[in-house]
Amino acid sequence: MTENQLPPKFACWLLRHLGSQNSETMLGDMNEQFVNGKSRSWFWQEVGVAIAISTYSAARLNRSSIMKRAIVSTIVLLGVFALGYWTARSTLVVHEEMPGPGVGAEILIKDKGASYLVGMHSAVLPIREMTQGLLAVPGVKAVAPIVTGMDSGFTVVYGIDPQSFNAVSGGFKIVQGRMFEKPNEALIDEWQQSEMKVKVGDRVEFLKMDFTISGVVEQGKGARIFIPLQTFQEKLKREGLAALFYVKLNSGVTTKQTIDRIRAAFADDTKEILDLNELASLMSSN
Amino acid sequence: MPRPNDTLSNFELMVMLAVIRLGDNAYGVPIAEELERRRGKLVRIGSVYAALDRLGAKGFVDSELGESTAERGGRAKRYFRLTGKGLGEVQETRRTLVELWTGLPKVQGRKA
Repeated sequence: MTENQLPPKFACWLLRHLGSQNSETMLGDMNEQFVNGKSRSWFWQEVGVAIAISTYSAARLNRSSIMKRAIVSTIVLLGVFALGYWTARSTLVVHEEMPGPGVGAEILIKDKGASYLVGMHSAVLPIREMTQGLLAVPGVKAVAPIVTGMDSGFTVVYGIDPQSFNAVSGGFKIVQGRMFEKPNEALIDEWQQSEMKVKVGDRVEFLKMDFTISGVVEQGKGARIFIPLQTFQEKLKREGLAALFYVKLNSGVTTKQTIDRIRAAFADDTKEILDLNELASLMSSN
Repeated sequence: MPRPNDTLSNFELMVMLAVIRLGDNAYGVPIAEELERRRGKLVRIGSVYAALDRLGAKGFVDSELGESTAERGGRAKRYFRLTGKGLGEVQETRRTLVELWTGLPKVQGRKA
């Protein structure tokens, strides 16, 4: 087992020293989920939340030691979230993996509780109902459900359905090989190919699964690695669910008006509907 | 009337119901997954254990260590189950909720 296949040692150490009496059991649970496909960033987030909850609980039970514990925990949590922010910005800015412009969609829909950062969404949105509902909204041209995740090294992976993704994005520009056709085939972009030094037909490992590279595409479609939607769903045990939806509008339709219509069509407050042009400006500003 | 610290929060009730549903397989990972699947929202392991700690302090759940596996880094699972007191509390809460819901005018939009 390589270093990247093990959970972050420092995170384990922090939880052991700053967590509750259940830290070892929690680490076992986190370890189990990490081995089954959760990312390192997920592991850090779980540890951060567990320490925060533990500190809060300790404050309620034992006020005498709380100041010391709170100061240490605050410093640690600031470090954890700074690390998360830095890695996220690295992913978004250095790897040019910001959602939106390259994908070709005007609107992104995600669960309200999910992160803004690509690759850090939990797949909880029902595809069939969402797609039918969105396509019934006037002005919506196409809808693409996506499952996202991060491979080691914070590389964003999209699980896509080629037909719907092409309808939204206008299709990949394939520079070598072809679109994936089997459950264990994957597309990578040119940047990823250069990083991995691989070619079409090579066998690689993404998300602790074996894939054969079927094609290499031009970069700029939201992720570095693309695998079949169903393969990713089965890996996460999230059949029929997506983490986010990209929505393509008909020409001449205003994004704001369509967002209002989508909000009216989905009369609940569990989903966040984002104007991708606004999100792009938010993400790129310092 | 029950003491205030014996009352259940929504999340604690959900955790107890998940423990009942999972039966002999009620440890951290499946409990979190069951809640995430049913609620449709991300559930953190730390939140689940904090709720289980509180439920344990109230005498509603108890636990025992199970087997350790390689995929858990050699750490043992902790299996949870409801105590008689916990089961009684769940039934009492259900009875109260059913009574409160029964005959309630249809709730529409964001206002009752």
